[in-house]
Amino acid sequence: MTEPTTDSSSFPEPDAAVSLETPTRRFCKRCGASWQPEWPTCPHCDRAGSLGPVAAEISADKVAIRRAVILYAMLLGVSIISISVSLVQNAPLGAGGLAVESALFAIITACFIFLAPRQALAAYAHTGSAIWYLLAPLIALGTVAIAAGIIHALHVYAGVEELHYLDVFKHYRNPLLVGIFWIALMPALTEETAFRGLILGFLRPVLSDNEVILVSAGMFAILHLSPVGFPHLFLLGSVLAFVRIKSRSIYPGMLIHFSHNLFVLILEHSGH
Amino acid sequence: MTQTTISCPHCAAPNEPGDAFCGSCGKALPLAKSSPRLVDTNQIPTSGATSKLVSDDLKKQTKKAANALLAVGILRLVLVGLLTFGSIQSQVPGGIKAVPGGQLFIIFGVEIGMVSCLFFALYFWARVSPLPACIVGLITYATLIGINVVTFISLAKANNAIGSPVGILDIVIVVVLVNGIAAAIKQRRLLTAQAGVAA
Repeated sequence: MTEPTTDSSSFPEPDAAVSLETPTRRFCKRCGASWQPEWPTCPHCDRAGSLGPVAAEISADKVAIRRAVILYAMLLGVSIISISVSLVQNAPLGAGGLAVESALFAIITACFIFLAPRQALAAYAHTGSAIWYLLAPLIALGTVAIAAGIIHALHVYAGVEELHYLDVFKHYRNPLLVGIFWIALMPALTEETAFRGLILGFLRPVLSDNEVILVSAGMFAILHLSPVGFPHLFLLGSVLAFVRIKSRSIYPGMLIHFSHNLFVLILEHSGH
Repeated sequence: MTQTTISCPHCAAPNEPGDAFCGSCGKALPLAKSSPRLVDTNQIPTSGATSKLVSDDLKKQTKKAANALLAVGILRLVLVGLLTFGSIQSQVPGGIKAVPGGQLFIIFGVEIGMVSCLFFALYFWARVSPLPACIVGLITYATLIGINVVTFISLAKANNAIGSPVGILDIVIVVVLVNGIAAAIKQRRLLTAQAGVAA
């Protein structure tokens, strides 16, 4: 902070017009932005010349938010297409549909990694403390228990149908294995990269940690377009974002996500 | 000689009569209406007048961002209410009763109740911290547009097409929300600047 030191004694010149143009001018008289004596015009009023640090920060914020929102919108597009397809064919997506969906998801994510490698790779550079990997299955057990509780409560008190994931794989010799690949492994890789890698990376310089957790969890939960799943997905998203920030790595989150989906599938397979 | 300069009340440097900020110390002159443009958080000139301008601007941007969310909540409530009422009244082929399973009714109900409530809740959040609230508002609205597209497709399949899935109002609302985010970004930077000055 520069406290102005110019006092009135430095302006004793008889000709005011001369003193107006003296190098003591340090601020633009029109917009109040700081001024370098060598600048012919104020770059901020005339919108010419280089941007100052804060103006650059503001435009960087805008770019970051725009990227996060556009990535979200594109992933939403994939979700909408897959839901529309399943509506039109009157059946949930099978393994083929899920493969296309995962591939689209991965292609979009890859494009954004290419666009902003710094944010994406920051999450992959750290492996995080080993304690997170030990905690991951336990955390997943907790989130699965809560999710099962919420869904069961919705089923009992609101008559909402329970979710079934393995039905579409019934005709495979081993539905559980196919389900684990498409429903546990692929989302753990692609969704973690998209949400906890990229979107969280874009928004982190702009928002505080708590806000990032809330916003990215909200995005994660809404994107699934499932009112029934929203409460537990929001919780899972918050937990994953929290672990991503605390462990400074994306891998524990991937393990939690994978374990969560795996436990859900095993519960369904075992008939609970 | 006629007076062609006004002297700065803070440092007494001469300035031209139309100037908003002192060229020498950068503090607000009586004509200043907005806070100084932020170029460097370490370079904000402080005086009672300038810090009042900064805090006024801060309030203005917060209000602008929050009001964007409030406007969306009210707009949805009014428009979706009218639409629902209209389609019940006219019993058009796309009307609620024509849709098997009352699927459309559920979607309208969700939109009327939950979405407006959500935007009102976001409005109150935005008054505290506008940026995350506005981002959540925008992504929620984008999702709503997506849900409308899905509804449109399922209705089109049942030969119950009701116009276009994305209306002019949707575009207006998205623009309003984007402007809200822009105001919120400025608010956040002003806040940082103010904290920097106070420190």
